[in-house]
Amino acid sequence: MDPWSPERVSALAPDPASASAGQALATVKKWSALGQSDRAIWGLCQGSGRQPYQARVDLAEPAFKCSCPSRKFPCKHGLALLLLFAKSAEAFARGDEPEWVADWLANRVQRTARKSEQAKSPVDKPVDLESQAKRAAQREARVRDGVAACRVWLEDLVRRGLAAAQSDPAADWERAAARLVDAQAPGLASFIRRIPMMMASGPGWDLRTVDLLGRLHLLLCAAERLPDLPADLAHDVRSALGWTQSREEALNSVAVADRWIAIGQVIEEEERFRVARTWLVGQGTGRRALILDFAAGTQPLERSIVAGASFDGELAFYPGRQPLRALVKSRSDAGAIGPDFLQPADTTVEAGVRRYAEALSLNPWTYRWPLLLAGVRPVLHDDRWFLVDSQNHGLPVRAGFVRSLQLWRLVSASGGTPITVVVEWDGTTALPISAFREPVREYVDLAPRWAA
Amino acid sequence: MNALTSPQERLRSLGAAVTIGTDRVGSAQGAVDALLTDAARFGVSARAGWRPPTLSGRLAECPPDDRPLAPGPAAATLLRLLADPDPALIEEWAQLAVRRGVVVDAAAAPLVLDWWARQPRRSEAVFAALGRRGEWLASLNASWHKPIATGEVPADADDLWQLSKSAERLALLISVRRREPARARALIESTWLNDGANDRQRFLEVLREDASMADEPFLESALDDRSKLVRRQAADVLAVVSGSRLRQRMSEAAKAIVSVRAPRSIPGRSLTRIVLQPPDSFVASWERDGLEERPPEGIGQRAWWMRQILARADLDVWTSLAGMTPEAILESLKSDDYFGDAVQALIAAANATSDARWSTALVRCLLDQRAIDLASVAALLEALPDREREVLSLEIIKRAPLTVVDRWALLGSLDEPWSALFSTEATKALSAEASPGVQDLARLSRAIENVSRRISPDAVDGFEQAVTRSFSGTLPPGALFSIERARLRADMHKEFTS
Repeated sequence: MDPWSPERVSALAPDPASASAGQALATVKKWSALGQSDRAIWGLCQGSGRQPYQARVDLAEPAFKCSCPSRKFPCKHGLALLLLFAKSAEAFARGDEPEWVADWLANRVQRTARKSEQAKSPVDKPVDLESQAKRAAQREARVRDGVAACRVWLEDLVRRGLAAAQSDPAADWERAAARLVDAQAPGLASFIRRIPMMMASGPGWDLRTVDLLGRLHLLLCAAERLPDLPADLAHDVRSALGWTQSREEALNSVAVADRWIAIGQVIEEEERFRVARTWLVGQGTGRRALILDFAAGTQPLERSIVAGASFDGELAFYPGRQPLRALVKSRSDAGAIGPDFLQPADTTVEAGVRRYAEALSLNPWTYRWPLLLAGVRPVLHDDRWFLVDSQNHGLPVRAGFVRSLQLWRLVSASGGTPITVVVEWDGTTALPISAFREPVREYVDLAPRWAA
Repeated sequence: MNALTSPQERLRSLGAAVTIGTDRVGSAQGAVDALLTDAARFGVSARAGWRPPTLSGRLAECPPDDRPLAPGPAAATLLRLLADPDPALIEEWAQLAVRRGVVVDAAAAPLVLDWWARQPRRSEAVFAALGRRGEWLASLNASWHKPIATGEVPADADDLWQLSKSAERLALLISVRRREPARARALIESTWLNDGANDRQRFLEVLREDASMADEPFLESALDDRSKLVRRQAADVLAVVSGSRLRQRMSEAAKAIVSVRAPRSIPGRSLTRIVLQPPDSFVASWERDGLEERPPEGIGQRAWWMRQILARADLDVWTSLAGMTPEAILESLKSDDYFGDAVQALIAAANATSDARWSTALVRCLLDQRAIDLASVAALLEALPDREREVLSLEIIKRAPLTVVDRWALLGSLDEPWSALFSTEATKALSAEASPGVQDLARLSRAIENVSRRISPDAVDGFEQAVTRSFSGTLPPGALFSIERARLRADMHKEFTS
């Protein structure tokens, strides 16, 4: 497969509008001074301003840079440039990089070097141990207060009853959550925000809500005994409380080298930021991994991993009893996924949920777990949709997905026959996020989008 | 506690307890903590111990389709079109796909189908471009299973006709009329006595399309309808049915108006002159045939009656009279006082019967008169076969005394298909003339938009040039969009051939 097919470039767009705008600009007529070197491409695009915009793309990652004022990342000019390159590379004159390209690339090289320097020797860095310890202690104290406040709030809720709480104004829930954000325990805050959503989630809501309260209770119990917990478990608890996990700790762990397949990607809008969840599976090790990328406000999301493709490289896992979240420590060329990518797949629904149960037994706050289901069919049973495996075992599909057009994209792609589907499983319902279509393992994006 | 109770059941009872609240049930000290601890325990074990149900059902499999998928770039364009839907462009995409024998990719098919099902006018080509997968998906999702889905007459058309609301009945009638004209008429007749006047009028209007002598008896009887609205509509439809009794009556009346003066012998040639004699009084029965007695302002009474009669009369009345060609007849009429009225009537008559010979003659006559009425010309051109229409249109665009805006408007009103040669020539003619400055910009933009939707993909460069020349200074957004649209269409055509 050509690594820069127009489809793959379009997949990098931050939203459909940008993809569309990029497509429209991807014609030679709109550009001047198009050029390419071994590592980059560049060109000038006349926009609404007087000066043409300088767009450049580092082909290695890819990374984008443009002089236009757009807040989208990559912007339409960057996308258009790469699209045009994918369509007609011959339009790009081979030559020396102009200064505005060379400088940027040099800067990038320096930055990358600095990053990998940090990655290699995090401990060699001179650290002010004393002030670090002081900051940690301060934080622990605040979180302790937050945990105590949350405990009081939770017990009060159980005493009053959910029926009574149902009529509480939304502002009350939000105030309780905001207090926990201030106490630097955003994990607890998001628990609280989920409760009213669960209470409004339709039939069976009480069962789901009491389950959520139980999980919160378990987290509070653990947080109250944080100093006594074994290190790995303490990591899981801190992470569930929403502590920022340090990159250094991940980079200190033993890196796992493999061919990593990006099996699905979901982008979610949170309170004040966006998160991209990218699920990876190691072709050889069968390890499941989660890469989180955050972007505040309108900042661009750096998404260097293309879903539906694979790369050779090392992942560094954040510590925990069941390490799942990871970061890319090193990577070489990206490429298409091979025919044997289903080797680490969950061959049956039972096998998949068993893996989840194991993960849950190690970390009871495991919220989402990726299932790579080889050969399941969408089936409508009693007005509910299931993914059914070769043993006729069915996985219930989440209601929100069923209401969206993504359900129909999945049904259509399957044609009623078995297909490889990736879902996020939470122990109750499955949210399909992607599918792979034979014969060429073509990636079908099923992440939340396209409301019906 | 019963050890055999499943975690789910335990959770359910905990859910009931926490809904009420421990205060209400007067629980003992520590009850809250015990409840939450149970919730944590059984919650985790319920999720960890979840077992999949065994289901025997399956979906009917999608029947295989040997047609290949639309090429990748074309598929990407379709997705882009769906993000900002322009029905005409999506339909054009689908027509290209159908012509090439390719189908929409499976993952995109639901997006297309969902868009299509929500359209008021559902294009057959778009549904056809989905291939067998489209039919299969529509069979699974009720909201896509539209009664007029495939353009075929639904099996329960009679029931739908009886039970639906006005708008849906009209849509049903239009689609039935296209497939089975006689059945459409039968539907109208089946509820004729109960439908309101407004509905009856709109239903008759549908019959105008391909109205034939088979409809004539019914329409003739509608001339005696209790509503004037309905009578007028019936007369309008009958006026386009050649051989109808109404046209016969009007032809008879026309014969009293049109006469030939004996050739004056001039040495070497004989000149036959046609003379018009408008009626002296309004015959009461004309009202039944849809004629208005009172003329609109600015037209004489007798001229008005004459116009209405000639517009509904067979054109043979003229040609059989003196064995003259339409051109000769028009030439001979030029000196007549009623020439202008006759031309208007003849334009209407030529339009009603789509007579190509008369249409050509009339357009040429208008050209010579340097009196181009755009709406009339456009209607006349419509009656011509493709080639003649293009030749004549080009002549008008090049020669007629029209403003740039009018030229564009005329071009924009022409029906497809446009040959590559015509598109190139027309845009060349339009770029020959620079913008005259202040003009009706909105009308110009609208006309350019129409052209951008029809121009042959081979003439896009010429189109862009012509648009640029027609505006002084910077192009307004509408014109830019039109250029983009034309380019997108051209790219789309290319994407299907690559």
